[in-house]
Amino acid sequence: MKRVLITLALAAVSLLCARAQSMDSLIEKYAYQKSAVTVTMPEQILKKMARRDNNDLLRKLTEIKIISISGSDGNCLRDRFLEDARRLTARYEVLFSVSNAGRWVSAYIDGHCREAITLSSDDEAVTLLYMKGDIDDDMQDALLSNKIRIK
Amino acid sequence: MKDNELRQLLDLWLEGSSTLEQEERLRRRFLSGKVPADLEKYRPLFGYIAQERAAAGVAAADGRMSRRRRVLRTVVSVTAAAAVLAGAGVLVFDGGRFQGGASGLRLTVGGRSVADEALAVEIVDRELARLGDVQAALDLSMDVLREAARVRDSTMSVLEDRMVLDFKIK
Repeated sequence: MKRVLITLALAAVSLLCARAQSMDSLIEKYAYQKSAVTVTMPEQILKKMARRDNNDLLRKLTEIKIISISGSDGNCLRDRFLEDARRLTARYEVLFSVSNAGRWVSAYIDGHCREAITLSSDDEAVTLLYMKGDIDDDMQDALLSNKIRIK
Repeated sequence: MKDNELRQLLDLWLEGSSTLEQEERLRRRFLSGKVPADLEKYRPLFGYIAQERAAAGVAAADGRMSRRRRVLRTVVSVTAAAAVLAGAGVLVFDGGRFQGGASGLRLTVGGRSVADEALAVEIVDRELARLGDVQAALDLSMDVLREAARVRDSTMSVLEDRMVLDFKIK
């Protein structure tokens, strides 16, 4: 009985840890910070945009989430967020990573090609962009060549 | 406009109950004037809206767009109030926190919830556009690599000439 309880407790702790690294929990954590902008865009709206613009790429997405923390390098909240974001992206495979003149962007994808994340940083903000859906080759190419648009 | 008035107008705007004229005054103040340090976080928000309007272009459509937004905000506000009163939870405010509407859309700016789909779309598009830097950086990297290759070829050519010359002298 004791062993079962310990196992359950460990499972609960693991679940909590996993949750601590999810995009949703990051949004919960940072949404109400003064220097943050967060957006959760559900499938309903993405499909509406896709229909309106006849956009095949958007049709493949079921969710877009964004957290952007403004602040220059060395800002405490920015650094903390960057640390959390890196912890989140550690579970994904790197698709590409480029830097130029103090700016950098890294893109990540999960093993099942269902989720893609970009983490970018410049002298003004750190931004985490999460996309869920069918992240197939076309979508990955679009991500690389900056063809994904919502407007 | 005094700072107190600015704060009041901002609260009204965030609640979706500001008038067109109040919205315009707010926008002008944020885009052109100084604002208290604690309100600086809202400046990008008005930047987004200004760009959105500029992209929309036509001044004549201006009024219609804002009116539509105002109606949207009013509807959201009324729905929120009704939901809170009825305890139905269509929109749940918890200590000023917005937990999301029926559509699942959620936008927070500077710690405040903003019920504005158009603005959320604008922000997402802007962030997607910023990924364009990736392409620019890749192009730059390719340019650097091409230049490095050109310098290497040129150096090799000079070395080969030198070797031929040395051989001839010997």
